[in-house]
Amino acid sequence: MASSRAVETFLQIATAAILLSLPLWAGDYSANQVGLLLLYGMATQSVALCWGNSGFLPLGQSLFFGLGAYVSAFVLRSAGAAGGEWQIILLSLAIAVPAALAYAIGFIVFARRIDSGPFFSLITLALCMLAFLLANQWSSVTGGFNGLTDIPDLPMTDRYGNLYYVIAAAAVGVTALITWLNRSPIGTLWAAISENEDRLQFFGFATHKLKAAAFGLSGAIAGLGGALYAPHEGLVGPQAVGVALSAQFVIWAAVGGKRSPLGAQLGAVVIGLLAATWRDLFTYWEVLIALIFIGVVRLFPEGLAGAAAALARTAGLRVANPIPEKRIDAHDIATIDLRPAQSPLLSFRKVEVSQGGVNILNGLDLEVGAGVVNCFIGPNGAGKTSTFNAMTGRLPVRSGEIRFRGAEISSSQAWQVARLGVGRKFQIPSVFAHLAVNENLQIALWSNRIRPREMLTAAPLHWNSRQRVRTLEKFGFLESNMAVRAGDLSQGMRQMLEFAMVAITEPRLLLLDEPCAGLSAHETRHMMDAIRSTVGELDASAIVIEHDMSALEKIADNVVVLHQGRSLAVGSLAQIKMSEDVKAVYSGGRK
Amino acid sequence: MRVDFMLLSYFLNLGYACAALALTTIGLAIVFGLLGVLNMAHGEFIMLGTYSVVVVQRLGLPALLAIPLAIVVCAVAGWTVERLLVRPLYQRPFDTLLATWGVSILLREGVVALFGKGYQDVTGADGASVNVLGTPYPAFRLAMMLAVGVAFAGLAAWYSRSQTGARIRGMVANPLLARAAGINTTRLASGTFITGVVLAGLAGVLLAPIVRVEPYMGLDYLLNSFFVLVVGGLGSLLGLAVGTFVIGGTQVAVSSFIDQTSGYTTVLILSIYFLWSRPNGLIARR
Amino acid sequence: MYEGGDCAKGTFFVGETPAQQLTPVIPWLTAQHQIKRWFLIGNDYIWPRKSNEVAKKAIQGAGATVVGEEYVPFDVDNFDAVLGKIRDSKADAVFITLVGGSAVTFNRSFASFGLSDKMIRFGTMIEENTLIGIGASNARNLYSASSFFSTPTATSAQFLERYHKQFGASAVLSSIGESTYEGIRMYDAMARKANSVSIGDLTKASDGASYKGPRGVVTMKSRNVTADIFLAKASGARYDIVKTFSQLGSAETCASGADAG
Repeated sequence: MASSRAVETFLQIATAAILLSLPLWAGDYSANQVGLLLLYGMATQSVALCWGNSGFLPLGQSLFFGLGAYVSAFVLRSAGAAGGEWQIILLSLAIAVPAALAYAIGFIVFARRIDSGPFFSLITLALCMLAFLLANQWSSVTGGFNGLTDIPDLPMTDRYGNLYYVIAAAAVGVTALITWLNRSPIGTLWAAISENEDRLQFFGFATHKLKAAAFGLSGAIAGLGGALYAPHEGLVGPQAVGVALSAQFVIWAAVGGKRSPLGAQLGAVVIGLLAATWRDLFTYWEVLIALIFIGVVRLFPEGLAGAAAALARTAGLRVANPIPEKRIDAHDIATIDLRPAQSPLLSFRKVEVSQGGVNILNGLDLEVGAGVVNCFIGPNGAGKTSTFNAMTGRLPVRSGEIRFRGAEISSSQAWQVARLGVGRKFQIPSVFAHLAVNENLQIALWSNRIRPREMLTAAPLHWNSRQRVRTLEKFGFLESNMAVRAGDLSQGMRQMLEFAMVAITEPRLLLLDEPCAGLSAHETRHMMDAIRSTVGELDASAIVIEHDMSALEKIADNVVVLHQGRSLAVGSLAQIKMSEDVKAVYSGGRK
Repeated sequence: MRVDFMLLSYFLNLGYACAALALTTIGLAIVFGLLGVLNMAHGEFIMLGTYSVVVVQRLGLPALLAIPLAIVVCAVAGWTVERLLVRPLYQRPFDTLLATWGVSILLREGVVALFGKGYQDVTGADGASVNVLGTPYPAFRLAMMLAVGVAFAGLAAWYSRSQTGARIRGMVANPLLARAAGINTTRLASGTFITGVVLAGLAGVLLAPIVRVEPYMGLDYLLNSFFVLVVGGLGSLLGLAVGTFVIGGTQVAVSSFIDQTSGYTTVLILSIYFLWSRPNGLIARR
Repeated sequence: MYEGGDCAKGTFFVGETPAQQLTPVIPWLTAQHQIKRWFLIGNDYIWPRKSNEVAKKAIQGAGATVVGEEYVPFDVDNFDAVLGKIRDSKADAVFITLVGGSAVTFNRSFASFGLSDKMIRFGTMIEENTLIGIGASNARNLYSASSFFSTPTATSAQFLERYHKQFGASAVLSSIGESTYEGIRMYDAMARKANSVSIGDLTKASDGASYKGPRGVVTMKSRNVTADIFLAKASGARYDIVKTFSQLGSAETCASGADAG
């Protein structure tokens, strides 16, 4: 069975050959039709880029398509006298302006910490409606209801002739670009965002910037479609920014396949062609399309491309990065220079956290020194996990101070705290389930290390580090399961994978929330050994939340007993065991 | 004297705008606000209600029969949609959005296939007017406003006191716990959804004589309802009321003092602002 | 119908211009109903604005005044504010250039506020489909001017019979649909006169090309048409023609001679 990647490449080349030669065997009229559909296809691909790859759905993509069209119309109409070269240069505005607008919108919306949920979609829809209103009303600039007419040809092209080749080349180029990006590190990161954005933030990635970049790129691609739309049609009206057109893009992306750039493109072309021929022949055509659409959403969420892939038994969903044979050494993590540690590594001073009227942390004071393994114990509801949440931006701190390496972090966001060198392992193992083990480890290795430019190169896919080598030695099963999807591992293996990922990020402080939950006795010992040796190798500190006393005995340098949001007792395990207060709390005595 | 007259007209217009908004939003408030289902076909259920009146009038039957007809049609359609599309997709908001959107296209084009694309005339709101403090105002509209007011008061009282209301609130807050407590969440969710779409249909019946009736009429109601819920807040009748007054009031005020385009633009911008900065609306319940 | 003022090469217009629909019609209505005050309302784009320019001249020429001029966007559903303005202006007549859904909603609301008996309405785009949506009970004192209504006349009776035989008795034919038929007839007349279909030849031969169709005699001049205009009053769900204005010129001046091809 050929590798899925090879099949994908083959199909794209075949499609490119068909598209680029179309006028020769189908005639100019068909080329004109297909050309328009390829332009719509680009906008469809831009929707799929956001939705299938990065997990957020733009419902108003015609905003960027139409904006590109209007800018292009403007340039072509007014720069006519200035000559071909100027026009081409100014036409890049038709791509740049929608891209900049999309990036800005994405940044502003995603930075606000609402997830990429339906509210983002509704915002894009409302903005699209606003643009439609503007296009209709601002007649002096946009031509109002009638639009901008008499748009001349693109320089050196004829809209009924060779303009098609320009369009086809652009369409093929867009497919290739998106595919290339999917196979680069940024593609893995986008997939991780759609998978579990929250988790990715804990690896130090400012996910709102990554999503904004995806949205900006989608704006550029849609703008490119619009830029060529203007000379193709000769006329740009408010329909180009209309909600109806946006809706069509989404439908084509859904039916064609939102995870496949080729699928999205062909979705637009094929459905468009079928609609053109059958709409008049068949009275119930629209009803049929609606039923197909509903069927796709309900039964084939990956669209026809996904269904075809499933039939051919290639990996239906995302094609994982291949496991490299040769590895190169990654450069060091860019360390953030903070004041050297005379002060403790981590300190809480009178921290108060409450939610929904319940006091979770009641003036918590604690200190964690360098190179020490602390264990937090305490009855349920004592505030152990909440301590982790408060210091990683997941719970708002009402009052008090949290300092890490001298910096005040009580109002920092998760990714900012991660960048300072805090690694967190969650109570319920949280890995990127649909990505392969190899890719999960890659993301961990890139954490705090990969630079934005490097996200577009292939080199980071081959990175290795000393800590990675050591970690793989500790957990032998990882090497033999590199191509397995993380979600297919057993619970215990996922726990260990997550710990491995945290270790690879080389943090200064490891926050480990019940690392042995769900592990057998043998695995528990293994995990404890791994924690001990990792902490030593990294010269780091760790805070471990655990209930298993025998496990704690092996690793705890220091034990902190939490009770009702406060620190009840601190000391070695032996001291804690003898404390009267602790005994009372655990056996139900008065606080 | 002149000022009084215009002020009274203004308030009557405001009252009508808010009543119509509240009436057409309550269905979506239940489905989106309580169940979290983005029902993009909400406007089409309203449309089905108006076409029920068309059918009844065409058959020469008394207009009141449109009410049971609308209830039956919307209940059947709602049950089917909930069973086949909404229930399997409860955890996937995007897919619910798209699936219900597919339903909206289906309903629209189905009605086009049956009735054609043209406008339909529904009689009943002829020029009979009532004198409100010296200003003539259409009687039908006044009756509609009163009916809406009474119905909402009743709904508010019922929801806060009835057992079903408590169960729904419980199910919304913690579905797992609700099931453990013996509440049949599947049936409750289905019933809630059906209630939401039936209320939309009834809104259509009540509005049919006043508004224009054609297959594509639903989209405007959907958008306005979303704006009301986004601004007012999901999950409570108070939120619905607040949202209605803000959106309806803004639209009427700006339209009266500037022009209608500005009114619509202002509502759009207001909604975008709320979506961005306060997605839980003014009266946050969840 | 269209707003006039477009002379693109190779384009020939068979639709009514505001000059035809308004210039003789408004004075007639003004005199007939002793109208002193007109209110103008239309959708916000070029056709209503151009129409209102012509309407204002005709209104002033007939000795009446314009007491209001409002433009609304397409998706407006609630006309209560405008209707308040219309009522307060104490207009005797409203000139309507709303289209599509706007026209339906406006006219229904207009009637529901009891204004149908206080002022007459005159529209140039209230064709039969819209009239059905407005409804018979809401269409009292509503006039429309067009070069075609689906009410049989001496020239259109046979055509309408053939139309309904082919498409069914319930199929609605309005001036907008019928214009497409007129377009083909005009093209046929011009091509026969020019004995060619090249744009240059057609343009040169266009002046004077003529045929007799459902609208009556239609003659092309300056690439627009001279034809009859009918003023009709709504009666139930149909129109009754109350006055015919024969052979009105379009007042357009597109070049059509040897120099224009």
